[in-house]
Amino acid sequence: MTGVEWFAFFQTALVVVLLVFCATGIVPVVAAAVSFLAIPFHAVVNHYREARPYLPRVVVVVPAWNEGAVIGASIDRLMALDYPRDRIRVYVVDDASTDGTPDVVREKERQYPGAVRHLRRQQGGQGKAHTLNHGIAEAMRDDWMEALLIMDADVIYSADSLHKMTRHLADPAVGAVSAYIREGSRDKNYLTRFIGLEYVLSQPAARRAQNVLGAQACLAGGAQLHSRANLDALGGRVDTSTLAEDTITTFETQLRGRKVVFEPHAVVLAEEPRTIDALWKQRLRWARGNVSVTARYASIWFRPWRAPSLGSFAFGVVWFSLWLLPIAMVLSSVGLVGLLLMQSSLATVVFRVLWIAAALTFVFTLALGAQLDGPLTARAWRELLTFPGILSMLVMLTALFPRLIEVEIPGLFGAKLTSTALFWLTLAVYVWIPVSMLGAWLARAIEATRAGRVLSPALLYLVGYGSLLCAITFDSYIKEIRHADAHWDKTVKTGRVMS
Amino acid sequence: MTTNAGQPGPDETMRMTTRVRERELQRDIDADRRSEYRLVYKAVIALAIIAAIAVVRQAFFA
Repeated sequence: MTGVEWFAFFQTALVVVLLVFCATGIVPVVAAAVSFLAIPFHAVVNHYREARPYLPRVVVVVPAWNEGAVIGASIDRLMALDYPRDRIRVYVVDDASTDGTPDVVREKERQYPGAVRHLRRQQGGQGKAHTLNHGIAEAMRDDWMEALLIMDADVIYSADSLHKMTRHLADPAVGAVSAYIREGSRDKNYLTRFIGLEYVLSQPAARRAQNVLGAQACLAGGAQLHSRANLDALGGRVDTSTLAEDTITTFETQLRGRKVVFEPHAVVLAEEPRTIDALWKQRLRWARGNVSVTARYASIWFRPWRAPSLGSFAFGVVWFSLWLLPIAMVLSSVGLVGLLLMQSSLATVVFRVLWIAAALTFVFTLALGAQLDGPLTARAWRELLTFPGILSMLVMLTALFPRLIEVEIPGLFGAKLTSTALFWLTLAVYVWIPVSMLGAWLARAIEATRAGRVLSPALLYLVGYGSLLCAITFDSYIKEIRHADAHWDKTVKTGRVMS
Repeated sequence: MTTNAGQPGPDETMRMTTRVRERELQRDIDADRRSEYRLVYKAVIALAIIAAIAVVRQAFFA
């Protein structure tokens, strides 16, 4: 080949590589679209036909470390559940608390004789999984317990939630049941409203889809009910080697052939972080846990013959599209910028395909999700309208209605974009996603400053809540590459949940 | 078992209470199962919003 032919070959190969980079951006969009399109099928593909009235003897295990402010009220609410009092026992596992937790729990032992037990761990601070195992071991010691509920000390179960969960255990094929953890702070701020919306999308929406697809990704840490048979099969303990014991319990349950069911009508209120920094620490723990899970189950991904539910193609795409979302977004931007420099007309077409698909998927997921918890989304309407970020929405508008953004709006001010201005505008639009992650990082960095009190929320509304989650996932990659210490970093709870 | 006065005894009362409770719980299951059909309408509404955006784009900005 001549030099010119080599150059043409190299150029074509580079365009193909850039197109592949761009295509990575469509995978999470398609995964989200397929997942949300599965939700209406929950009308017929659900577990209610196998559910029966069933009120087993339940031990509730509550891990508690310095929960003196909330634990007393939590026990009172458990005792007030619409569930036979003689069929429920509460084991509070006090992880060597240094506050008034032991005194509060002992007082509740006297108030509810035989129904409440205080279990004290002398050596604390090993993490939630160790604390849970202490309580599970006590519950397994005799035959009384037929089902075991793992919950957090600060959450509030709606009165009917427990019997809505136990009814699925009437089917011996079910090993565990999870509930809808709903953000329930009394003193909501912009961040807790964003989290509330995220929980609507990830639980009554996405977990219904997972019921339909036949595999659940994760039992809620604060609301997971196990049958005794399932705990026996799991060896009577949860995993203590990672920060993702909930996910590993979920996977192990399903790998042993038992179903995990999400019950959307069992509602549990939880207190969530009010600051970006606290949210970052919580989600970094979750993201790093997911790295461990991904590595541990490397032999089952996309291998349905090894694990029919978890190994399915659909489940694998959903799992990896969330876990690798930041990489996909960065690669997609690199691809678009590269194409802009090499073949700008092709870049325009690819950009429109990617962002119109993203925009329509966003609108569909938010429109459907908003209807699944009307009262919550009504209170969070500002966050609903700006969930993808105001600037991301402008990028979507540019893809959907290019003439509006490039011609008609500048025309209102008597302006006309020059070709140079248009190039820079296009470049800014194409690199927006990686920049939005930096914006989310900046929102955290300045949050504690005086200016940050105003600028951090403003930045988050501009860049979008999704960019914040992507930035945290990206941080988890960095921490993993650096082999940074992975330790249990408890989210501080102060009893802000609505009663 | 009934008492001499024709009233239900403790065992029978317990069984009746259990049956009533079971019927309540079954009604709750049926109600939740039926409520899941609303997901179809909700998805149709969400799809209608997508269709409206597509129509606006084609009609005014194509």
